[in-house]
Amino acid sequence: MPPIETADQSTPESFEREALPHLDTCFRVACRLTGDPSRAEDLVQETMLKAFRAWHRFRPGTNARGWLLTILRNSFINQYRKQKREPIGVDIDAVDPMAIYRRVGQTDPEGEFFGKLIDRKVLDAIDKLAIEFREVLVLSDIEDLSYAEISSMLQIPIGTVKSRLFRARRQLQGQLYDHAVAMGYISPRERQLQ
Amino acid sequence: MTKVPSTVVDCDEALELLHEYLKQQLTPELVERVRAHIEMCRPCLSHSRFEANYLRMLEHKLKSITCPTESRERILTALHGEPPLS
Ligand SMILES: [Zn+2]
Repeated sequence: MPPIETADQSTPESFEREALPHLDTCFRVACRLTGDPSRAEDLVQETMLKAFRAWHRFRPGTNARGWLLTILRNSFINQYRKQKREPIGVDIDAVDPMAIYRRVGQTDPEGEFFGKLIDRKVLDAIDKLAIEFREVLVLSDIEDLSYAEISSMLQIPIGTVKSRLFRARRQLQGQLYDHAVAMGYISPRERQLQ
Repeated sequence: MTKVPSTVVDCDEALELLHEYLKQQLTPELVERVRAHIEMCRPCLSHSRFEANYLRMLEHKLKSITCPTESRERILTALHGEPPLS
């Protein structure tokens, strides 16, 4: 193996070394932003090409993942967002945020309930969240970006990141509750009370 | 020397900080205060387990999604077709 180039960071090798490991993260985020795997592939390819062309502006040693995701999100906003109708955000007042917890929180310490949920249904539920909730949920709860990273990426205060995350999680859990009742995994509240 | 947290948070604070606690977003001092509360409070412990299970489910279901091989190759081909970096 050749020694790692440190003098000149603007090489295709340094791009492949530092940017390409984040390809899967970019793809997952793109899938949730676009709601469509083939559009996500296009978005990721566009992101990687833009990032490659701008690689001389990336400061070595800083956060390549955050830098790539910022490019990805800006590309999405500029080109894709207008083409697709916004999903109707779930009405937070219509869902009981603690519904699942009340059903299984005390009786299922190992979380078997969550294991029953169908992957596709969980993805659909995320994709139904309004974009501002969906993106913070994906960045924090799936890709593990810190609140500070998300704050600087979306250019919103950390307090806003937290409040959006709080609502996003509650909305998602509310939807998963409805799904679980529809599938018969848990009984709706009325029957539970009998 | 074990440092005893000066103030233990109450239930409302613990629940408000729960996700930040689980996502390791708190300062070490706050982590200790939340942990101290959860360890002695059954309802908050059960909330904590529940939310941890929820977060684990999300990661488990979504992290398995990866960029398709053909797409990865297409991107690499496109990158190699780019003019050299200046
Ligand atoms: Zn408590």
